[in-house]
Amino acid sequence: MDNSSYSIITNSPAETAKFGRDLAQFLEVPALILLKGELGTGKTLIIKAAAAASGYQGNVTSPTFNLIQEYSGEQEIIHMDLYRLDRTEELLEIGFEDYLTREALIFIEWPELALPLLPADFLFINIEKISAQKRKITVYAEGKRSSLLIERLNQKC
Amino acid sequence: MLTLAIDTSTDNLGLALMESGQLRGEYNLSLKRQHSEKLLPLIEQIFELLGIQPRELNGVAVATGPGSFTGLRIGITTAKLLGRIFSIPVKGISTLEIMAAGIAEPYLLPLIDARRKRVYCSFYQNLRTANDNFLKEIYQPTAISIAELPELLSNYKEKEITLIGEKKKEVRRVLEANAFSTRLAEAESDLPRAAVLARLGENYFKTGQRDDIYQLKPAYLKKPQAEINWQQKYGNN
Amino acid sequence: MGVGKLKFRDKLKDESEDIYILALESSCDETAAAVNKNGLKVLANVVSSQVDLHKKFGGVVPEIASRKHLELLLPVIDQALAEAGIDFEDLDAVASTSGPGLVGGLLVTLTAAKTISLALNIPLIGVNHIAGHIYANFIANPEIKKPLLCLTISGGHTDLLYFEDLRGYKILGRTVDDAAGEAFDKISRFLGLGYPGGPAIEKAARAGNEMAVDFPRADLGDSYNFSFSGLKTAVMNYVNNEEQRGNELKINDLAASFQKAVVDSLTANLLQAVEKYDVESVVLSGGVAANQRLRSYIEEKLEEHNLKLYYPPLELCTDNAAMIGAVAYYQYLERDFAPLSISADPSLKL
Repeated sequence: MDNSSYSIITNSPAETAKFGRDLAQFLEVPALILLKGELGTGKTLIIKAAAAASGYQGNVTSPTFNLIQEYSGEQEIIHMDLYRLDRTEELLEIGFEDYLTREALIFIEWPELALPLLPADFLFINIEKISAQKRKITVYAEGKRSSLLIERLNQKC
Repeated sequence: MLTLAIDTSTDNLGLALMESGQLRGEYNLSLKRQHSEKLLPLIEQIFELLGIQPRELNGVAVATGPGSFTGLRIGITTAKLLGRIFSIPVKGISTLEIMAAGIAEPYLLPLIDARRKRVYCSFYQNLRTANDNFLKEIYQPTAISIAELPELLSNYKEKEITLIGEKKKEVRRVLEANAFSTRLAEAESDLPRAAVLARLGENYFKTGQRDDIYQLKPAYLKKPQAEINWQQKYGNN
Repeated sequence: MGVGKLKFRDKLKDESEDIYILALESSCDETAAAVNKNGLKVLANVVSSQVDLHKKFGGVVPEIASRKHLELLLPVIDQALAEAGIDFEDLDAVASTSGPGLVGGLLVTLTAAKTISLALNIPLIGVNHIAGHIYANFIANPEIKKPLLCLTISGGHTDLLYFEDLRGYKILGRTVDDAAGEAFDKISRFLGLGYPGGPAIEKAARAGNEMAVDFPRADLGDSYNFSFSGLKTAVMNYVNNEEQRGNELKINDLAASFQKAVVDSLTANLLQAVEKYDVESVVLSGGVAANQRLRSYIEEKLEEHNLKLYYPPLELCTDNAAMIGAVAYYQYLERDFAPLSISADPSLKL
């Protein structure tokens, strides 16, 4: 796209998870991270790894909420999976606006419907399946804060 | 006529009691996310300190946002129950209207921080009548990126716009860079003041305006007026 | 703030007088109000369910639930008072679930109860939702003999309790990882059987062979604790292996075998406690208590000990407010009142 992107090839789920952990080091609240990729490409894996690296311990005995899960570790983490939504309006019903006002790391899987509602600063992670295990992960940034993060990713990783 | 005003829409917890045009008491406390713990004890306290019984109430004015949905539901639930138990009128009033109604200037832009370089705002023209300020809503409440405000307000470049609330200085920088003329509200007007809410409520009740407590709900925002279209860039690659 | 409390403390009643309590519940996806007289007598029990609203999303969506609770709040209160034939002024106390559950939802009825308490100058009682499900039994079966053991199981918890009488209990064991109902939900979704998982698995299991696959039962030694995460993983691994081998999945058999593994784990700990504690009855509660296979298996095993198993009727198994009112009555007798500053606790434990 332009110089405001970062790319990496991962050869296994373990490497994909490591990318999630690396990414987490650079994230600061409030951050918005969108993840796009087919089923089974590792979106949730990346989010879980990033959440764990951000201090989320992972042991909750709470009911399952498919669409939105909140994890509180050292910082607040909100994980949305918009796969089941059909219309952008539904995002307003689930309180999307309210979530954007939170001082949190917000991860969104299947973010297409949310695109019209987004603020001007976010990370967009595209995951392409190269083979069964191999992925090409590209991170794009919109806005000043997220672009800075890409610069740091490019320097350190 | 005794009116209780309740505002839990923003970080400010606002409570006021107004008796026939006379302000009896007012709390405006910056209590982030503690509205659930603090609202009812403070209502109990304001009644106790003023020697008033809850059943003496004649009406409840409540802020309907924009703001935190959870916070809003706390205030609105309280208003609904008071309305139901004492059979008294309840009126929901936009938090942005409360902010604008506190200032007697012609063009008013109340702002609430929506985080991530966005604000909730609406835009009012103040049409002064003999007795009262009358606010005409030019743009309804919306969530908008600060960078998009010049476009939203482009028809009002010739007017002096009064900026009220959170982010007013940041908004001023953006507007003035686009050749707008602005002035800033005084610090004490940056909050949705509970006393203003009480006054507005009393005025509504005097003219017989009230909400159906069974229908009353927070001002859940509709689709933003100005959408950023990232769809082309990220939606289908 | 204490002054108001002292005022109503003068007119508190004891067991010899009739006590009317309005109870409210909005911890998940039902909005409910009830009026109870003297605890176990239910004068009105109104439940408005939102399950259909959430079906599409495969789980409860917190914001949608909270919006609906606010909308349904006054209608369910009105209906409960009307059915009970009483007015706000007749109430001796008001109760609301204070947890566990979804904060946004809990705050709707908790705030309503606080407002009623303040407006009418009556005591406010915060009730644990899980305790509510247990007391649903005592509403349905007032003849239950004490002391008793209670196995309470839902999507959020799995606990084994000992009750000397209705005023208190001792926790013998709880889950160390997933709750049983959570395991049902996850496996149901994994097998494509839908939400809510309990009824979906049970329905599929009826057409399946529960001996088909021998899934592991967690053994936590001498403790009364439970564990279901190993079982969950075992089912997922089994399915993945079968799929990789290209074998056709027998969903009904899988559902039945999984269900039997859960039932066995739950029953084993209960029976261990039955042998240790000298009890008169055994009680089941929580959403998973609706599972027929669980009930019949435990009943069968308890017969050997000449013990009767009690469980709430279906209408009291789903979330309701009558059960909250029942707990609230015993809290009232114990003068266990909440201050107006009480907040919702999403992970409140027993």
